[in-house]
Amino acid sequence: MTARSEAPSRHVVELAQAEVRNNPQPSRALQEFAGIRLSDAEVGVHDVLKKHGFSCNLAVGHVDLGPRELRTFPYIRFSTWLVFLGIQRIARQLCGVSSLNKMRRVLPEFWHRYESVNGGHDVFGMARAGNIDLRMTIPYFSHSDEGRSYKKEAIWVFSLHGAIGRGTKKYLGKKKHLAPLKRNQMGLNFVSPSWSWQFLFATMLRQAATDNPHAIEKLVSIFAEDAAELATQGIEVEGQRLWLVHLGTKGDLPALGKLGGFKRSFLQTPRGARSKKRCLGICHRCLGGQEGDEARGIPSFPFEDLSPNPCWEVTMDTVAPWVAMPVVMRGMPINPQKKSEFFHFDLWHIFHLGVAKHWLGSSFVLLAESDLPALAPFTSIETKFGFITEKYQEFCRGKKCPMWITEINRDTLLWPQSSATPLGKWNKGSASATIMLFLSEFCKQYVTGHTADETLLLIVSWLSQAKILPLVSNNKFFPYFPYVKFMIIIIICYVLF
Amino acid sequence: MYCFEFPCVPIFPPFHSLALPAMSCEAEATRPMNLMFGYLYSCGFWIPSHKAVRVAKYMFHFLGSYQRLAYLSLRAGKNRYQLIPKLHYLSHIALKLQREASQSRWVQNPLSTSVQCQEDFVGRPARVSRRVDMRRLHTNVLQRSLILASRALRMADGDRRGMDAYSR
Repeated sequence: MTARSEAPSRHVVELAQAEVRNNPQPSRALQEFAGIRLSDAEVGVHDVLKKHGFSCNLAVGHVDLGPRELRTFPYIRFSTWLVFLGIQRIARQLCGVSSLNKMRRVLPEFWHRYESVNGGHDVFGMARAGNIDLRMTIPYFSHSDEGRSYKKEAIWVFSLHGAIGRGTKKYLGKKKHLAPLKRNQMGLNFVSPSWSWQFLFATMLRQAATDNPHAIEKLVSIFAEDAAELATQGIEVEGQRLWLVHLGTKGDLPALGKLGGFKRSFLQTPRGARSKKRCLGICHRCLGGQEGDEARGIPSFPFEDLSPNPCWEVTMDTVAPWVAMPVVMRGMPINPQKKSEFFHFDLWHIFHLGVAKHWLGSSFVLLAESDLPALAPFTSIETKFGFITEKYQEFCRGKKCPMWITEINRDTLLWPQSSATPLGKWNKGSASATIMLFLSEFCKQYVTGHTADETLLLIVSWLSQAKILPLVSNNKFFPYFPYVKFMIIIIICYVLF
Repeated sequence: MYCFEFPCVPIFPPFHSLALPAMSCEAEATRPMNLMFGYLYSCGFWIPSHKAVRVAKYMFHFLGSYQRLAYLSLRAGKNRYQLIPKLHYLSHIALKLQREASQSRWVQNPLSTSVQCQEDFVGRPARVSRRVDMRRLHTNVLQRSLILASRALRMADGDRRGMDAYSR
């Protein structure tokens, strides 16, 4: 079927016709394929596949978004997906549980925890008023991003998926999913084939969206209308009433900016210490990045404040980042105190495809420019990078990590001359993850214990081993052993003294 | 010790790494970030608040080291460790963890709103769109996606991973 999704329909029909000609007893499905008109193969093939259960038999909606192909533009409502899936698959693919009964136990616990951090969310008011039943209310997220279509043209994809799921491979490997409900962390949605738990709403070529400026907005409004109904009225699936609450939308920063229509985003970042036009901010959550104006009494909130008590914290959700409320939020139960949090930050993109690329680029340059004893025999920057590359390749082979970039050099660090700002060239998140691991290992081997100042190195060693408390214990059999040991010592001290 | 562009912002952390050479900062900050990601991937949607506090500390520790290195680079007259807006968004994530941990026993895992799986998913309809007639692209992509979804759902029906959860 994967092959069918990529082969021309006409070709499939021709193959079926050839088979029917040569085979005296062809199957019924093959005969049906062979009977399809070649001039209209695409429609006919999908009908036969649906009839025999090889394609999801659900009603695709159509909307008029513009001329030509956009006149009957296709999309799939989330409610259509839910009816098609049925209660068993909803439980499995949207909540990561095996049955409806388990879903009834898990969801109230989920909302109980959610209430403790998002107490003001509309969903709890609705539940208290008896309008929805939290035992049957499923949380989900939407996601939008662009992929690459024919001739590298961008294609916008909008999809939905349940907030909780079966877990990650690591989570399942550690058997954390087996913990009792009150102590269960509730798995993330990471395993299972992608198409089985992410439900496509619509796709659109960038060219079509550019030619018809309001097309995406209209599509999203159809989704929002459906989502609002799912949250407030619910949906009847196999005799069970379910409610689905859209917890927020996620994506990379440009995608969030487009969907939210933000007037404050990373695109407004000032390029110098002072701007001609005052920057209003760079963040949709707060006024971070706002440039002050003493004459008008406007304070500045530098986004460079990275401390645990930043000056911009008080400005969170004080000024809306949009001119009009984004279509994707309309009619949706939200947290009125944290409206902008509906657009979630993505840790993976922010770190692996942003911060880490700068961090790694600058760090390797710093290493190459240093007088580390391990790099002392090499006289040029190129040979120093050669040594680092050799160690990197050894590390990847040893740890069996995928080597997304094969060399660490001036080219991969976009550092042609000393005055340039180094930046990782790769566009693969897992490349950053692997190189971060390598840098850590390299520092452990060649930096810690190999610089001149021993006192400082002791501090480094103390910091990395003692000050940074372990998140995960190495004791596989009883991870709480260090804490129990500590408790036993306290009890002994208490008894003795 | 102050940030170069905005004299009002004190460089964090003021306590230990000010006297450290730049490379020690690197060694110090890379490992906690690796540990933190490793831990978050092993967690579910919710992480216990006492662990969330540590994750936030790791993030702030990294951010502090980055800021310190940016300062040292500037003092040395070199273009390194650019202060980019994504550092601000990272500190939002760390701050959220820290604040929520002080008010609840459970805190939402920041990876629950990350998109690595979705990035992979986006590539699939995009790949399909490279193999259909351009004149009816949107319809054909959706129809072919239904074939792939049907197959994946059948596979997921037989996938028992994680289905023994919540038995107690």
